[in-house]
Parts: sequence; C-alpha cells; structure tokens
Amino acid sequence: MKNKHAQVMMMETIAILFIFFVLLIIGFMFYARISQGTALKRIEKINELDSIRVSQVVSFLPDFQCASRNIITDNCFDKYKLEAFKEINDVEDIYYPFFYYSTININEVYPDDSNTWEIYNKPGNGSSSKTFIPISLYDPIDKKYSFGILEVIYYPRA
Amino acid sequence: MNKSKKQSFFNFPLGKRKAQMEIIGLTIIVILIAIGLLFAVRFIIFKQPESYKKDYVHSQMAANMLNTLLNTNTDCHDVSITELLQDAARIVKNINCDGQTSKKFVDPLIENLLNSSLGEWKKSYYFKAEVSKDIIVEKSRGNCGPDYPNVEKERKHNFIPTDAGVMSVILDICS
Repeated sequence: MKNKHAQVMMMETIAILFIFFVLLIIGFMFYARISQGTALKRIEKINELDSIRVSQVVSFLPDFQCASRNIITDNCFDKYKLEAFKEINDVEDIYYPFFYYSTININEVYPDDSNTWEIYNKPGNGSSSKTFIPISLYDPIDKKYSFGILEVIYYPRA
Repeated sequence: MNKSKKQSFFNFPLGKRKAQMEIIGLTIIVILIAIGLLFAVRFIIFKQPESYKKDYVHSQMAANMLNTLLNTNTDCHDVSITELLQDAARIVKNINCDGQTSKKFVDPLIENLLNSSLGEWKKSYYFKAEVSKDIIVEKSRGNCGPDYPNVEKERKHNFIPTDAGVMSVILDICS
C-alpha cells in the first residue's frame, strides 16, 4: 500500500514537471516571437530614419541649393548647379557617405516636363523606400522658377 | 438526518475546506494570469507601429507643395501663380493669358499640378484660395476637405496680400 502511494506521488511529480516544462516552452516561444517582432520593428524604424536622413541631406546640400548673395532659398534647386553636377565623375564614390545605397532623381513637372536630372545612382538589393518631395527649380539666368519633384529611392541593404 | 442535510463550505471539516480554498486560490491565480496575458497581447502584439517616415513625408509634402506651387512661374507672361491669384482676386483683372482671364488660367493649372504630384502619389488633398469668403480656386481629391472633418490631415496655410484684402491659401493633405 505504501509503495503504491509513493508511485502515485512520483507520477504526480512527473506530471507536474511535464506540465511545467510545457508551459515554460510555450512561454519561451511566445517571448521569442515578441522579441523577433520588436527587433524587426526596430530595424524598420532605423531604415525609415535613414531614408529621411538621405532626403534631408539632398534637400539641404549646398551643391544644389539656390543661393543669391549667400542667402539660401529653402526647398529650391539651382538648374545650373544641377547641370554642372552632371559633369562630375565618380559621383557614386564621392557622395556615398551622404547617400549610401540610393537613387536620386529630379524631374521637372511644369512648364517643361522633359527635363530630368539623375543626381545619384547606386541602387542596393532587396526592398526600397521611395520619398517624393515637391521642389522649386530655379533658372538664375531667366530668373524663373519651375515646378519639380525630388525622387529619393533608399535601399536599406547593399 | 444530519447526512441528508446539504453541506455548505463552512460545514466541511477543516482538511476538506483547505483543499477547496486551495482550488479557489488556483482559480484566482489562473484568472489573473489570463487577464495579464490579455493585456500583454492587447498592448504588445496589436500595438500600432509608429511611422516616422509617413509623418515626415506628409509635413514636408504639405509645406513644400504650397511654397513650390505659389512660386512657380507660368506660361502666362512668366508671372507666378501667386501673381495670378492676386490678379484673380481683383475686380478689374489686369493679366490676360492668351485671351483667358487670370482666374480661368490659374484654376486648371493648379489642378493639373496637384494631380500630377499628389494625385500621382495617391494622396487625398484639399486646396482653397479665398479672399473674404470669396473662393478664387477650390480643388479636392479623395476623402479630404470640409465634408470630411474627422479625417487626419496635414495643413499648410499661406497668406497673400491682394487689392481685395488678404488672400488665405490652404492646402490639406489627408492620410
């Protein structure tokens, strides 16, 4: 009778331990899943911030900005600076520390929608995030502003 | 006589009462854990992801769009859209764009520019230029504008001086 009671007690202990470990494994899986989701969200956030940073750098780079007597016009790109920029060799190497893996284009929408400037072209692999910013394109000779779009495609991976 | 009497919790002997109390305690713990898990699921798993880019793009878009639009020089004697709007607000118009009044010229031009940018990017917008309740240009696309007051939007407001008073120009970009 005593032996039987001990066996029952042992079985009970084993069952409790089994349930405990099952619960522990389920809890660990749940935690791992949440941690993975959080890490992915953090990576996504970093990529988003990098993409914003590249857009900001392009918008405020003195190499393109309109300026008259050292007064800078916000949100404005000088057409002649853009033309001159086309002549630079190895743009992708020189501007890599600013733009990383991205493609940057400027398209004139009005009045002449055929004008396009390819500023930087170093695409990466995988997913990309596109940002469009409306900009003014200034012709300093004719003193005229055109309506253009700055297109920044950022690739988080090389 | 006593055996047939229905036994309540307090009528049980102390040993049995202890077992019942243990079960009640376990039930309370299980309920508390379940409530905790429900809260965890609600606040961790179903948490709406923050989008920095969306906020940045919307605020940049609204501000840049309006400034760029108003600064743009047009085919009509190279005058800017701001000047055309100023002329459109006058009682006696001075600018003639190939037989069209400034108002008739600027209206489709603004619509065209908004559609070829915001429209192309599938953004809903509402544009209005008015001088003392007199609407000069009003354009909208999608669920945006005064008919949709509960829609989240990014607003940019500009003021242009005209002969008829101060013109208020509004551009809303809705999510």
